[in-house]
Amino acid sequence: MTSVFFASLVVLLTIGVPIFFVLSAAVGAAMWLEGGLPLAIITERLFAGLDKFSLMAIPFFILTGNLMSVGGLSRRLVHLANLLVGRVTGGLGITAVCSSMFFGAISGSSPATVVAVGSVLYPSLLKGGYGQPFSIGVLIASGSLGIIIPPSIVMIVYAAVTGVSVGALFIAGVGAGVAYGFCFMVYCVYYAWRNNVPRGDIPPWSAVGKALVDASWGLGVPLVVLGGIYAGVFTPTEAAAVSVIYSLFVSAFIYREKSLFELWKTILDSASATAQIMIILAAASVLSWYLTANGLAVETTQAMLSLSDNPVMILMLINAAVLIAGMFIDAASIMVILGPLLYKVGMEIGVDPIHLGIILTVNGAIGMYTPPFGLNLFVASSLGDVSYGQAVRGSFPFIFIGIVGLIIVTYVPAFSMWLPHQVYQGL
Amino acid sequence: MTLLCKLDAALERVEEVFIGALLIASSFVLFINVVARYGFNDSFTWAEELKRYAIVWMVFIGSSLAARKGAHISVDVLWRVLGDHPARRVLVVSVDALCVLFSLFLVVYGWDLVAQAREFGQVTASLQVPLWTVQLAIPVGGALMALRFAQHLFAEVAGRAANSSLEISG
Repeated sequence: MTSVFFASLVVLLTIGVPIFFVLSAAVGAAMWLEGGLPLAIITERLFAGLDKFSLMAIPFFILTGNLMSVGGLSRRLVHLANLLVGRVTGGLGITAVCSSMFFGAISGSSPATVVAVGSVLYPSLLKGGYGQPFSIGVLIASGSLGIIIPPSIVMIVYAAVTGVSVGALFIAGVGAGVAYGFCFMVYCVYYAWRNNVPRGDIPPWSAVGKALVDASWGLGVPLVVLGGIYAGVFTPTEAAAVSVIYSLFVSAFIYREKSLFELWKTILDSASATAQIMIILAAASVLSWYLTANGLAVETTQAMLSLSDNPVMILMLINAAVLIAGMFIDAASIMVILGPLLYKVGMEIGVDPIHLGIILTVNGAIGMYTPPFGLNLFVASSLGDVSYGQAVRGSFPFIFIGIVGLIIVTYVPAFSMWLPHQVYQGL
Repeated sequence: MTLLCKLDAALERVEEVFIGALLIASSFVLFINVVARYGFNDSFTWAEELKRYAIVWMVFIGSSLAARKGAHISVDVLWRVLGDHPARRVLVVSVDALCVLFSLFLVVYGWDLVAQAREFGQVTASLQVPLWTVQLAIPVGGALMALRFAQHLFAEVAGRAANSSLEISG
């Protein structure tokens, strides 16, 4: 019945059935042919998969990111980043990367970061003498930092399917995100030097202080989230809920750029976006139940390990597989489908499960802007006069840079693991 | 048709307000729980459970909304490749038909789950409410989704005209 299962999985996915239906229907079809087990197991797993403590932070992190980006924070963050790093060669490009890092520390989603930072910076990049492909490329690529810099929805999903600590993953994402973002910054400097892009005006340092105060309300979010989790004040889910209330307060009473009605619209949109992601996570637990119950999980793991027994090679295979998957499906879905399997493979070759989570997340991040179906490529059209083809052209150099970043993160575990080792002594 | 359109729009509004209210209410419940824990040295053990069940309902009702908007995450390579080719319509219709079938599966077997929980009188750990009130989200969500996919299927079969009138109503 394994063949029925895999065939229906592939066919249903290809013809465009919603992913959560595919995952549970493929299991249903195989079980129906096998007979014996009651089909109600599927709905039972669907319920149990959703009714999980670890996933409950997702809706609140999505809502916080959305509230902050409509509430007027993104403009302030970009302004601050520009004052800090805009003074060097390639400064405006570095500003894009840096703003995405700041924004990634508030939002857990990549397309949201592209829109928030890009809508402010895209016109300035063009005006500042950067070519159009570069301007689009740097925005859609650094937007992917949104899922590497904590909080990150993709990491929460990995934590939920493998049982690794969300807190440890989050803090490991800081180092990895900085290393990955740094690669982009180096390219920005090279590009500006090579193409003689003029430097921006050099702002007085006194302006920095004012911008810092202005943006500090928004930068309070990561402080609340990370500080609260590591101080043991609250769980990641509570941290997320507290930051919802905080960002609601800041948008409604401090920045006051949007009416309460517009904020309510944002809440509705976030609820809807959450449902689309979490129903897939529910279905994923149907799939992982089936894979485990049938011993398929073990078989697949063995098959992968039989290709090589060299950890370096296996990691390369994992990276290649996930990069290819990332061209077609989004990072959270990849975590859901491949996460549990790759976790077992990683355990066998002795990779730290937290480090593996970071590797997979960075992989997923690259997939966000890899053609043909990286989500950020489609979001780019909202930045202005950008066609899909132009976005693809702009993405190319950054895909190579992103892969360089991935290789560094994969083979130098210290970037990810140093901070968690400091925070969690027993790790 | 117009009456149906109005009903459709009304249902969408109700669903939207329902999931939005669940999301914001559970944020507040969690927030108040944290404040109570540190401010008053007291916390409600049921807060965590309440939020979990609110999110379960939000996800299933939100899935119906996503079905209405065609926003469910799927691999749409083939749809994009086909463009306006007539084969695309065949594909869309068959995918919708499969979705209706599977939504009905959720209704039937979700109801099984509810019936079981009622029979055994299961209650939740800290709120002590019947478990079936939470599990009911599956058959209800399934029924709403079946309606939405059937609607989309109908619009696709009836052609572009019906489709665009539905679009306007939303």
